[in-house]
Amino acid sequence: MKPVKPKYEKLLAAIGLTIETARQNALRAINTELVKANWEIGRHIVEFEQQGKERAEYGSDLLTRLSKDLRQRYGNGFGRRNILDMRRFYLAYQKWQTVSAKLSWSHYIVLISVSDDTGRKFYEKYAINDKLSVRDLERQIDASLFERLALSKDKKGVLQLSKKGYIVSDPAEIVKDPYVLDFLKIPQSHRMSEKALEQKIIDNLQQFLLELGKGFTFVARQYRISLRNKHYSIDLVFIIAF
Amino acid sequence: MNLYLNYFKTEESVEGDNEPIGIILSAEKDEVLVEYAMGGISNKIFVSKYQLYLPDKKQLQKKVKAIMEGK
Repeated sequence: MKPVKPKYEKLLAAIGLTIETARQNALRAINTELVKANWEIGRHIVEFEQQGKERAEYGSDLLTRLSKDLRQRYGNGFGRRNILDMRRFYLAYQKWQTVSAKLSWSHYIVLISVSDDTGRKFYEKYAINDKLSVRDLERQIDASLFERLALSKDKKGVLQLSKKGYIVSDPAEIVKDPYVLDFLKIPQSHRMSEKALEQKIIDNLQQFLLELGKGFTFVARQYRISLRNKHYSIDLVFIIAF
Repeated sequence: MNLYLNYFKTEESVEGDNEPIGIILSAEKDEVLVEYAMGGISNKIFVSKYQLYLPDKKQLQKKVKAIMEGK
């Protein structure tokens, strides 16, 4: 029986891979359909609103009324807030081709909260390229990543940033000023020792890496260097891969 | 920091590595002091402030807008 075993393992692995791939594809297809449907709903509403006469009849109650009727027929998921998001989504992405299949509806809800076009494009590219989770994307928008990167650039640089997303080519570009460490949840007035701050950073390493920026990998804390029997320690050491 | 960077350059870096960079996080930052402290050092050392709260988004957006409008 023994020689059969590795072959059997291979069979099992191949079937497993097929199942997982199929599941992932199905999820992706569902997501694309969902985003597309929401986009269409937004389009229907905007086009309806643009027919001036009818609009006056319903006024600003349109969304409330729609929400009520849709919920009755199609269940939850059509709250006023959701319908408002679909409408905003369409207004931000009027060409369907500009919507990426790589992002989920939840990503897009977060993205449309960015009112400025240049900024939104930046976050969108960044989320696609780095496969950002919705949570990480939200955090980067809250922490004004785009603005902080943009401030060290001229107009051309900002446009480039918007077009390409978060792409780093020069070490000077990865250094931010300031670093936003709100996730350490230290009260502002609190004076903290270096050691304690370092510990907090280690406790929240994942978020710290996100804040440091692209390509950072943690190597060590208190990295020891010995020179002529004298010892030095580097607080934190990282490798950066571009 | 300069010592650390020189050490890494000679002892740790392998071929193809970029030069190491050093980032000093500080609660306060005095531009003039930083300039004097870093003068003449060829290693890439950056001094950045850290803050424990989210930045004022509106303020930053205004500044970016000014860049885009060429002010």
